[in-house]
Amino acid sequence: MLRKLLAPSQAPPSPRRSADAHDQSLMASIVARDLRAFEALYRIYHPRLARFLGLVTPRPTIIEEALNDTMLVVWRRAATYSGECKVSTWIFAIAYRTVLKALRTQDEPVDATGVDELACEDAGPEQAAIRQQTQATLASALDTLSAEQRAVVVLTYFHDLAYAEIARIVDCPVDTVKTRMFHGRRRLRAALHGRLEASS
Amino acid sequence: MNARIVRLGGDEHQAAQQLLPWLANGTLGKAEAAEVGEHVAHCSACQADLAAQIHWRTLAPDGAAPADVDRAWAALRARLDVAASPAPRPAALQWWRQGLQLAVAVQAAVILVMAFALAWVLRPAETYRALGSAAVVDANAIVVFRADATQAETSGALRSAGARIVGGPTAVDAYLLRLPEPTAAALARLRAERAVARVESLQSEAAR
Repeated sequence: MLRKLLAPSQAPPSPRRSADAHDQSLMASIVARDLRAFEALYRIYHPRLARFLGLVTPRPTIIEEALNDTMLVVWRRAATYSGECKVSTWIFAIAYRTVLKALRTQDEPVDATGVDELACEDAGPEQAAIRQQTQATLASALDTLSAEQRAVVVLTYFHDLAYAEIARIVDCPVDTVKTRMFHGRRRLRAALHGRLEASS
Repeated sequence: MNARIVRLGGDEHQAAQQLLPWLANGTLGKAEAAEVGEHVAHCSACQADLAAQIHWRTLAPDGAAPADVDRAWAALRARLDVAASPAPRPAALQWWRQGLQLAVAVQAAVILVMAFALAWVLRPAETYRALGSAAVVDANAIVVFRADATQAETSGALRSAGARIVGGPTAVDAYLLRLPEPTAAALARLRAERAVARVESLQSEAAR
């Protein structure tokens, strides 16, 4: 696996490009106030944004609100999308700003039940249980990071984005992204205390 | 295609460490991937770190349970109804609308000028005339010649009717005529000429 990974990387897979072309097409319709196009875009991005926001904050109330607030901005400000970056980058940048604002304004204690439910939900075969346990462990470890670090870690590991794209989303220099990731990884490793390595 | 290997500057291990997450997710450019890969190939610490990160990636937590998409869409749809503010129009559409508005305004202005010109020409005959009054007061008919009529044709038409031009051209390229007898028959004769597009009497029915 490592050897395969170290081989020179290939050109970006075409599905991503065609997905962006489809997104661009939907955006053009949304600018013309096409509600059906907006619903199509919403259904594409709902799971992706829910996953991103859910990992940046464990508070379900913030996730739902931030998700719809994000898409409301997409609807209202579709005409301001310049096409300089991918549609997904533009939308994730809106989501990032929205969730940070929500976290700052809603200074509530973090609800840890989400993580507990994650670990206990759908207990089935032993392997699935172990996997759920390790996922919960990683989720708990992510929760020890700042929101800014979490966003970079989540976008890198679980959304497969390049650092330049992440820099656009979180609106900071590339070096800052690398630094946040470096320190985030260090805190993750410390929080995990080798638990994930032991379970693998 | 072989990647060009760019040497890591300064602390090679530190630079490779910073880029490992993006080597793991496969988004590094070819040159950077080759550069970091070369370091990882002979650095056991980076190999272990990379392996751990690859493992973490396979354990993507689901996060908090996302809301049902249909319910979430319905909630947002309701907000769209409430906030149904007019969207900013694309620049091209705005330019088109502005151009159309300008064209309509210019057209209205031209129509207004023509209407005033025609009203002035067709105004009722003055009852008082000074000796030095302009010849226009003698006009008893107005004619518009065809655009393709020749000089000979227009002259012939005027001669046959015994008419003479006493004014014009007006804003609508009409000429004021003085006919010896501006009767309906005389006007009809003039109207039958090929050079004439339109001819009308300037006298009221009562005055004829």
